[in-house]
Formats: sequence, structure tokens, C-alpha cells
Amino acid sequence: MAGHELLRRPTLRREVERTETADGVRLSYLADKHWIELEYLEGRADESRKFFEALASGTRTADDLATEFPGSREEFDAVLEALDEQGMLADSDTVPLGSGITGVGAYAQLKRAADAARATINSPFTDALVAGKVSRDQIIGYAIEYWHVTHLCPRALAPLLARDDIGIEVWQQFMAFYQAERNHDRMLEKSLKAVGITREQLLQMQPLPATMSIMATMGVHAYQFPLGIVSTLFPMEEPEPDFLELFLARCRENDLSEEFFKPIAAHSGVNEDEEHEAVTLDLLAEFSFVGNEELNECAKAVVDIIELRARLDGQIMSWYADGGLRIFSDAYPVATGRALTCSPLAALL
Amino acid sequence: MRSGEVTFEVEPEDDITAEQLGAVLRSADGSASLSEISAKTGVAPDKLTSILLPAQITGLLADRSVPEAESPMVVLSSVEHVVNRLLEELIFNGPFWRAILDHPEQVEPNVYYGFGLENWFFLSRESEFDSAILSYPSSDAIRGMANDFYHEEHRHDDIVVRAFEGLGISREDLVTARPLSTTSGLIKLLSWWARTDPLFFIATIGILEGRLEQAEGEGAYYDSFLRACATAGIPTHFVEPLRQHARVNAGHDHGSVSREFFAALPPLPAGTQARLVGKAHLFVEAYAEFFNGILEYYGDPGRPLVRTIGSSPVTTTAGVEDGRP
Repeated sequence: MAGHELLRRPTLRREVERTETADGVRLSYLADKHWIELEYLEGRADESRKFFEALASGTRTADDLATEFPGSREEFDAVLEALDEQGMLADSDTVPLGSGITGVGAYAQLKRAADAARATINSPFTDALVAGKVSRDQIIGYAIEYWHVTHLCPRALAPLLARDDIGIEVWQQFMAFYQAERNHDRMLEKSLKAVGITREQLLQMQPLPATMSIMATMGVHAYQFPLGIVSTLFPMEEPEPDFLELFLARCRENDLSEEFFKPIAAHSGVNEDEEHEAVTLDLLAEFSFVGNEELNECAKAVVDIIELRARLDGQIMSWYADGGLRIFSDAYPVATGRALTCSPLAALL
Repeated sequence: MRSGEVTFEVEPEDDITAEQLGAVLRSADGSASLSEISAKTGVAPDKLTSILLPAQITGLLADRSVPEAESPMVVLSSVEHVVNRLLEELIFNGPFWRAILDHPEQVEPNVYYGFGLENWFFLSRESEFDSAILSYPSSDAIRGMANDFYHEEHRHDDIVVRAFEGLGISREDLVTARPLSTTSGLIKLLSWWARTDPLFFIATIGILEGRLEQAEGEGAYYDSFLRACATAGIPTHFVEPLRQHARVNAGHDHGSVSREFFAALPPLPAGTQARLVGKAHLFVEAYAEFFNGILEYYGDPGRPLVRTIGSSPVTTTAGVEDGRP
């Protein structure tokens, strides 16, 4: 398709000068470096002048202009093509209503999508906490995966800080968030040290597939989908006070010391204190417009993270039942690996 | 307040009455702006925020205000104007194009060959920037078009590489060689923008592919260049592959690529035009340097045509002679 045919409301650039000649019009642009002279059809000078007025007004669609053109559609196209070759045409297209919403409005929709997803998905780990059917190893496994999340977090977030299309307000807020998230893995390392797991061991461990999928998802969004990473922060950051209370009770029942659970509780408190739950709203509020397709992509990303979190909680229960530390060199517990990967996840059915 | 399974408490500050609180909540029905609600209920705007924020965080408040957005085609039109103007001022009025257009016969043959070589360096690394938009996450239409474009561009460097065979320069020589810093600078700018501001990168594609080149079916500046080659007596074995490449691009109508992409985009957030227009100036500056760097380096016939890394940074792997009869 020729370039001018893509213009919805073709219009002469306001920098284009029009002067009447003896039998037509001369159009000049960029200090006369680009110019064109057109002759009016005989006896149709008035219509032609009106056409150029209409073209300059920027209020007509291409089809409307074509009907006002004193000549055939082919001749109309030839004139527009000639003007466009000289760089004289712009588009005065308008934004159609209903093509998107504000960032604040987008947040409300994402939040509702998240709530709707959560209403149908439950966490096997939380279920086990409630039922009192969680083992000491599974609780420690939860802390290990939590460590992976905090350890990978800066890597997942950082790519957004390289973006140059998110506006300075979003960049600054995100930079502050990034800095607040740094070194949170050190808090978890204190917990795990209390149960004899060292940082050196942690650095050799592989996260569970769902843990890695969550962090990879967020990291890739941060690279290429700014609204995607902004949208998926709240399902990761919302405080869960009921969960924490239950978690601490089960730690005590399983002879896990305060040294183990204090830092976990403290980290959860950090997220609450810093009002992390509102981070998505605060960031989205800086976007004046979110298109419908983009909003749907964001909602998909949010619900995906919620499903992955449920999957992660299932994987904690199955792997850390007896799988041990995920440091793989030559030995691999095949039976546990099969339980992890081959059994359906009831939470998502 | 309760909505489904979500319950939360609103604790207004002391000087807000229960009546005012009720009035605020009843007014939040999508028909009034925050300032209108404030005026109607006598609750100051900052107090209003403290009442409504918990409901907002919980997702109970929607936003009915009309979003501020810009038409993609209007944004691109503004970018085009900047480019039209600066192409004239910085590029066609710059040393390289003035020499090619005004006295082609006086231009060193190496400048013509250098133009081909630097274009090859650019084409051979085009995947570096084009690939970064293949996964454009927020638009199915853009993803499709980006992949089509990528496919159409693939192996264009192989068309141009044939131009150098007659000069005794093989593909291997080119792969070992390095571009001018004015070329590598442009390549890396585009790669950076493709990754950090893909929309702006997309706006540049049509310019690089020659929006101003459609006049004679092949392109004004490629055409001018090919005409100058003829005047300067540059051998056809060098010129023909370049002509062929220009024809392939014209056949795909690549000069309209940015418009095609922008016509398929949804409206853009407010402020996009200002951002893109600003960067367009920087882009044309780098593009002007790309051309003028060619004349600056290759204008000295004593310099090697193919620059490699060796004991000396300007050694050549190919013994290139003046190809003119």
C-alpha cells in the first residue's frame, strides 16, 4: 500500500504554503526545498480551491476528501501521492472512544481479574498449613524457594530500568522499588542458616520449575513489556497476614526456632511497611492510556502469575516431601522428580 | 464496606462526619470527577484521597475518566516533519551528498565503494535491531508485521556482498573487517532504541528504508547515488547489485513500513509525540554522521578500503585497486 493511502485524515502540514498561480496552485514546503505546482481542471477552479481548503483543514477522512475532489478517484490518489512524495501530508486522525482506559482504571480491572482467579484457585501449601499436614522439610522448602525469589528479584526487575519509554515518574518509582528489593535474599539466608543451610549451598541449588517460571516471566516482561512487569508486581507483593500467622504456628509445631521464622516474618513485614501492595497502582497511575489489547495482555500476565504461584505451592509440597536439597550433580531422585512433574495439580483443575 | 468476599473498614479523619462519608461514597458512581465530589460534599481533595484509596487498592473503584491518548498516525506525522526538515538540512546539504550530487566525477572511487561497504555492514547487522521487536508483546498485529518485515529483510546483505567480488573482497573479508565508528554508532543506537523504546525504533524503519525514495520506483537517494556512480565511471559489476537491492526494497514498499506499523497501533499515551519528536532529531544527526563519515574516511584514497583488526588498526586484507577502466 502506498504511503498516502495509510493516512486516515490526510491533511496538508501546517508548514506548507499555498499560493494561487494563473491556472492552479503552488505548494511549497521547507523553504521551497520541496515544491509542486498543480493546474486546476478547466472550469473547476472554485471546486479545486475548496478541495485544497478542505485538505488543509484536517477535518475530513480520505474518503470524504475524495468525494470533494474535482476529478476521478485515480486523479485524487495521484495528487495525494505527489504531495506525499514531497513530504507535505500529515495525518489529523483522532483517537476513537473506547479504545482504552486510564492506568488507574486498568488497575481496577487487573485487581478484579486477580480476585476472580484467586476465587477458583487454592494453594496446596496453604491448604496443608491449614490442615496441619505440612512437614518440617516442606516448610524449609518454602523458605528455600522464597530465597530463590528474592535472590532472582533484582535480575528480574533490572531490565525495566533500561527502558526509555516509561516516563521519568515510573522510572524513579521503579528504581526506588528495585533498591528496596535488593539484599532481601540476605534476610532469608539468616533463616536458612538456622536450619544448617548455607549461602554456598543455596547458590548451588536449582529453584523449582514454577519458581523459575515466575521469575523468568517477570524478567522477560521487564525486558520487553513495561506494563506487564508493572501489572505483575501486586500479585507478588500483596501482604498475606492470615497466611503468616498460620505459617508461624506451624513452624513452632515443627520445632523450627525463632531464628528460622523471625527473618521470614520480618520480610513479610517489610513488604507491608513499604506499602508494596500499592506499587502496581502507583505505577499504573502514571500511564495516561492503556489500550484494550494491552490491558488484556496485562490481565493474562496477572492471572498467569497467580496460577504459577499455586503451581509453585504444589511443587513445594511434592518435592520437599522427600526430595531434599535441589543440588544436582550426578544423583537425582527420580521418584520425587516424577511426583513433581507427572501428577496433576489439583489446585488448578 | 463489603464487596463479595472483600471487606474493609474506612476510618475517616476526625473532622469528617458520617454524613459526609456517606455522601462521598454515594457520589463515587462514575458521574463526577474528584473535584466535583469534593465541591459537592465539602470534603477537601486530600481527605477524599484518604477515604477512597483503600477502596481503590482493593479494586472496588473503577475510573470513568476519558484517558489522554494520541493518535499514532498524528505522532508519526510529527516525526516525519522533523525528518523531512533535517534530511534536507543535515543530510542532503551535508558534505557527502553535496559531493555526490554536485560533482560526482570528482569524488574518489573509494567513496562509492565505501558507501556500499558501510551499507553492507549495516545490512549484515540488521537482525540485531529488527529482532528486538519481533515479540512486541502488546499487539498481535505489530508482531505479525514485524516478523514479515524481518523475513523480507533476511539475506539482503547477500545481495550487496556481490558488489564487492569484482573488487577482490570476499564475504570472509567483510566478516573479519570492521565498520566505521559512524556506522557502528548508528547500528548500536537503533539496537538500543529497538530494546528500550521500540515504538521510536519502528518510527525510524521507514526512513532507513527510504520513505523519500519512491519518486522513480527505486528511490531518490539511491537513484541519485546510482546516477553519480555512472557519471564517475564506477564499474557496473559494483553498481548492479546495489541497484538490485534498491529494487527489492521498492518492491516490498519498505519506504512505507513505519506508516503501516503505526496505522496498526492502538492509540498511544499522552506524551508519546514529544518523546518521539525529540529523539527524531538525535536519530537524523546520527544518520547524517553515517553518510558524512563515509566521505571523511574513504575520501582519502591512501586509506585501506577494508579495515581489520591486526597489528595495525588500519591494515587491509584485500588489495583493492581503482576499479575504473
